[in-house]
Formats: sequence, C-alpha cells, structure tokens
Amino acid sequence: MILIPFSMVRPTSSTRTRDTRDPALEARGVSMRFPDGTDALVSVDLAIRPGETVALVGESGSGKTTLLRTFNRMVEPTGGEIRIRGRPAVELDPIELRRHTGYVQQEGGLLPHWTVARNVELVLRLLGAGVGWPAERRRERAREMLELVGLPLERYGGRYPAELSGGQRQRVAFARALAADPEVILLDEPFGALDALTRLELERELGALFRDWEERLGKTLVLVTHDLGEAFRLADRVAVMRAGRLLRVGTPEELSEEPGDEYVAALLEVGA
Amino acid sequence: MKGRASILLSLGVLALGLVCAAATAHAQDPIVVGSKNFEESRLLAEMFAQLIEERTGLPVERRLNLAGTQVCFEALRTGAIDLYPEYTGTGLASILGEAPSGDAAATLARVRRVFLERWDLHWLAPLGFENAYELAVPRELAHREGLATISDLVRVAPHLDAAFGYEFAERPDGLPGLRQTYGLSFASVRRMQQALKYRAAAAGEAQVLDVYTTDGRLLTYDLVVLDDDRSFFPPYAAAPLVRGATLARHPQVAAALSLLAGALDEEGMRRLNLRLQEAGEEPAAVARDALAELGLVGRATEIAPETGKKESFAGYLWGRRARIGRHTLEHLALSGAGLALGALLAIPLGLALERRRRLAELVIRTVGVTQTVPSLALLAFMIPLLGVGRAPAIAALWIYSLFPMLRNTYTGVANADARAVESATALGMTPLQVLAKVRLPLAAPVIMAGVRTSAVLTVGTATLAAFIGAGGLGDPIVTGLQLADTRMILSGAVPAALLAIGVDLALAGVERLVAPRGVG
Repeated sequence: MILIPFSMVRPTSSTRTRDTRDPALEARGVSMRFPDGTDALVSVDLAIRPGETVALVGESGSGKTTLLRTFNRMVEPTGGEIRIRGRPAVELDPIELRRHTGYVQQEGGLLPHWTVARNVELVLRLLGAGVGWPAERRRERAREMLELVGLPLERYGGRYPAELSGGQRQRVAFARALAADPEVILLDEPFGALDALTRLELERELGALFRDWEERLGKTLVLVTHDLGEAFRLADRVAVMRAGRLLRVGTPEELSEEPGDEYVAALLEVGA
Repeated sequence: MKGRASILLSLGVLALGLVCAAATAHAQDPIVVGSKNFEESRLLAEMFAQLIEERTGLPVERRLNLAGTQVCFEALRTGAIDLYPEYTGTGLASILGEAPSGDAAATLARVRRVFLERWDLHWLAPLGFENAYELAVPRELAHREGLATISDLVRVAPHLDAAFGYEFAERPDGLPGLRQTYGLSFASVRRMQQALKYRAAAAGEAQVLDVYTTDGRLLTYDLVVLDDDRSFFPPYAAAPLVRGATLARHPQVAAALSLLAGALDEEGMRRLNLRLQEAGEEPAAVARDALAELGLVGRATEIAPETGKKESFAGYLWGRRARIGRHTLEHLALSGAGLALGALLAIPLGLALERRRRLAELVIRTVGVTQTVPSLALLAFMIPLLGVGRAPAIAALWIYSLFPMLRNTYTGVANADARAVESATALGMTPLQVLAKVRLPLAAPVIMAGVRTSAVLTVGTATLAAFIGAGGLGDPIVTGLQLADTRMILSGAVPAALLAIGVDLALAGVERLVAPRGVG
C-alpha cells in the first residue's frame, strides 16, 4: 500500500460552481442479485455530477466493479434504476450508450489481432464513416490520441499489443477510450496488473491528463480501484463500498476528517 | 486481419463443395451392375456388364465389391443397383430366412415366386453351375481318420480347429444350421477371409474350412471335400438377379443375359476363379476371355498386362498408376465432399452454440457419440437410407467429420481472449460484431486445427467406403484383403496414408494463413 502524504491529496474544486444540471450518472436504490442468489449490490444510491471524478473503493467482492458496469449496461440491475443524464438507462440503446462511454479495464483489453492504431480507432470504426469518421479522420484522431498518451503513431501505430510493454498497452487503452470524445469514462482498475513503478508513472501522467480533460472539457470519470491512495490522489469524491453496500461518499478531506464508519476508519488507517 | 480467416474458410469450403458436386454428378441413367466382395461374384458381374455393353449398347456402371449379401440385396431392393449375381440357396436361406429344402428346381421356383411377389425382383435363367458351400479337410487328415462325409467329421471335430468365412459363420445355411443338423462342435472356430483360410490350412493352423464348389483354390491346395450326407446345404445355382423396373425399361438386358443361361459349369468356373485368385488377374480381362470363349464377344484386342509376381513393388505400382490415380481422385472427392459438408454444418453450429452455452455441452456430447459408432457400421446404416455408392459414403463421412470441427469451433470462440471480448463489448460492438471481428479471428487457428483433424479422419475412414461400392483407395485394399495380396493392399494403403499426410500438411499451411497476426 502506498503512503499518501497529505500534500498529494488533490485540492477539491470547492471553487467550482455547484451544478444544478441532472447528474451525469445516477444510481437510485440499485440492487443486483446474481442468479446464484448472491447480492452484488444492495440498494445503492449515488449521484455523480457532470465533470466530476468519483472513485469507487473497496476490497474485491465489494460490488464496485458491478456498480461501474451498470453505468454502460454491461450489468442490468435486478432492482432500482440507473439514470444517465436524467434518463432511465433502460430507455437507452445499450450499444449506442457504450459507444459513447469510454471504458478502460485492467490489462487494457486490447484486441490482440489488431494493430495499435486500429485499436485506438475501434469506436470510431463502429460509429462509422456515416457519422463523420471517414478513414483519414480516424487516422488523424488516432495520431492525436496516441500523441496524448506519449506513443507517436509513426513508431507505435503499426505494432501489435503483444509487442508493447504492459504500461504501453494501458496507454493505448486510454487513447482508445478517449478517441470518440465520450462525456463519461469508466475506468476499472486501470493501473492494476502493472508493476509499482510503471503504475506510479502512469498514474501521474494520465492522472494529470484526466484532470486536464475533466477541468477543460467537463468529462465525468468513474474510477474503480482497491487502492485508497490512488483514489485520494485522483478523485474529487471517494465512495467506499463493502459487501454490495455504499458505506460512505465524500471528498478525501471529508473522509479523512470524519470517516463516519468503523470500516472506513479502519481502511483509512491502513491506507494513510 | 479484416475477416481474412472467414473468407479463406468459406473459400475452402466452397472449393471442396464443388469437388463433391462434380464427383457425385451422375451420367445419364446407366445400368448399374453390383457384386459381392469375392472373386466369383466380381467375375460374374463383370461378365454381365460386358455382355450388356456389347449387346445392348447401354452405358453400364460397376459397383463391385459390395460388402456381402445384405449390402448387395439392400442395394438392389432400394434401386441403388439394377442387378447382381446371386445364388438361389443364398436367396432362400439368407434373404428369405427359410429352411433349406428341396432340390435345385424347387429352390429356384420358390425364390422366383417370392422375390417377384415381395420386391418385383427377377431371377433370370441360372448360369448352369452351382456354387455350394462345402466343408473341406486336408487330404492327409481325411486319409488318417477315414473322413468321407460330414457325419464322419462329427467324431473327430472336437479336436480340430476350424477356419470359416465371416458370412458362413453367421448364415443360417452356414455354421449355425450345420451345428444343428449334424451336431458338430470344434475345438476352436476362427473367422477369416477366404484366401487366408487356405493359407491357414496349408500352414496346419486349421483343419476344417468352408469352401465353395467352384473355388479355384481347390485345384491347387491338397484338400478333400466332405460329402453333405444329410443334404443340409441347399442348392446354390448362380443366376442374375434383376430389378423388374430395369427389365421393363430395358427388356434387351434380359435378352443379353439369357445368352449366359446354362453356359457355365463348375469345372470351368474353378479355372476362371483360379486366374483371379492365384494369378492375380483382373476380373475385366478374365471375363472378356470367358465371354470370348463362349463366342459371345470378340477377343480382347489388347493383351492383358503381365502381372507376374516377380516384378518389384515400385514396378507393380507403376503398372497400376492409372488405376491408383483414379482411385486417389475418387478418394479425394469422397473425403472432400464429406469434409466440406461437415464444415458447412459444424462451423456455423459451433459459432451459434457460443451464444447458447448451456445447450452447447449437450449438443457437442451428442455429436461426439457419432465418433463411437464403428465406421463400417455407420456405412452399413446408410444403405437402407441412401442405397450404395457415393451418396451413403459421403453421408457417413459427413457425420464422422462433424465432431472435431464442432468441438474446436465452439472451444475456440468460447475461450477467445476474455479481456478482448469484454472490452470490445463494453466499447459498443454488437454480439454479432464481437463474434465476427473478435472471437472468430482469434479462434481461426483452433478451428483450422479441428478441420485438420477431421480431414485426416475423413481421408482415413474413406478407405472403408469401398465396402459399399463408393470406390476410392479402399477398393484395392478390400480386393487385396480378399486375395490376401499384400501388394494390392499396399497399393491402396500407401497412397491413402500419403494422402492423409499431404492433406494434413496442406491444411497446416492454411492454418498458418488464417492465424491472426500479433497472436501466438
């Protein structure tokens, strides 16, 4: 576990104007019971404002990944409701929703038989030339995105994922998630399965990138991690989950000052 | 990548399908002559075929070497063949299942009436000789024990080893009836091919064998035929057995075959059979000579190729190159058609099952059962449905080819890189896109490996297709087994093995082509 000096906790944007728009993402009493009877989510309420970064924190089995996956309808809750920009998610076409929602998972999930450039273009290809993504524009976009994550297209565009390091693959996954300019980006342990050094380096670089995106372009990010330090460094608010329940939501400061729950307090003690 | 795998796969399937279509296309309505898988039956069928060709000008197709009475008769009944040489006693005992009784004339009258009533099948005029089952013992043993009749044999039989043909051991007019009538029992009964029985007897490993009256080997092996003193064996007069429909359409066929009525005798048949059995001559050549001797056709203008056994194996193969080439093409067409049809079902089914995983296990296991059915049995099952020849053989090969391709297709697509599948779905690919753009290309090498396994299996199994008259490299193997002619067996087995290796190598090349770059 990485120790977090308090100076590294990012300043919250208390100066930011309170948003009165609909939440970008909202869970209302969301429950998920798997066919085998286990409860992955129990009546979770969480509203994520546009332009906010929220970290879902908890140990494995806490339901954080399941909650994340309800936001792009990879999981359909068995109770409650997911709303996306104020609209019930069930009214949205899941394929369309996913194409307009960024997604980065552990170990990247790149298509191993596609080149780096083609992987970055994945969503643009799915959207198709008909909605403004002809081949030249796609390639141009891939170049921009790869530039952004520090992998020049000329050098890396033609390589296959197996020819990259773990960190480089993860960078490509970020470039892919951003390519279609989605408003919401879902990150499932994006720095998991990397060695500690690469992890820190990637977190610092891409973290800065995200902050930039978030502040400049108003992107909404949801980050799943089991690393409280990472959550504190990257997120505006941290949601602590355990056994399918949402225990506590607050800014890093709020959580540090007033854990409000024994488990959260214990977690903070171990993590900080 | 761009679906290269799927394009290549479908092209391959298409090409194989074309080969199949070309191979199964029929010439216009030929007379199909069948025969069982022993020399005399092949010889008579060849004589019938040549006589019909010579006298009627009708095109004739030969389906020789069908595996035994049951297969031949089913083929005739279902119209897969138009005629074949049969024996009245076999018709009575094996086909009708009636107890042998009466003399030759009564037996003929009985089978004529029943075959006509039940199946509209016609026994034409007998050829003039009988080819009965008989029991034979080495001359030395007969002398020592004073054996002249089967009744004499009963006393010493418990100390003797018997070697009987497969059919004889089962037929009611064979061993089972013989046991009942005479109360015979042997120290041991081994079942083996006709030619091998004689060798076993010569080597002293068997003392009693079933023989045919007209078996040419009776002229060369020192055996004594025992008298059937209780008249157990029915009369086995040889005659053409023809479909009524064929005679109605082509009455000239009956006219041509009537030229052979009463034209042959036992002694003559023994000599003709011997040429096939010991000299290894071709039925076509011997049949030509026999018909010429009867003045029914002109002498063969070409001299039959010398098939003396002294030439080298390479020379032997060279001498048979045209035939081996033809058999190889037949073989490729059979296996290719079976495999292509198999791929057309197995691969799409495997892909579809990926979306029905709970059903998949059941379906794959069920298809797996086909692998446990012996190939020959599967071929035999096809006869009542599809007759004899290429169609049932292709159907059987098709069934055989399914399992490896189905299993590999399903396993390949179901186990494709889980994270790639997950992210492709999460970024908005439809299930069909995930299948076509992610699962299928990633699974292509596994699927091709299944196709390879099926291909080798199919090429191997296709050698059995000769048993139901489909030709191919099994033809010289089956004939060679009958004649105990190792070189003839090898002339089918060696090309078949080479073919399997070649097909495997070729498909290994395709497997490398379809393997997506960046993987493995």
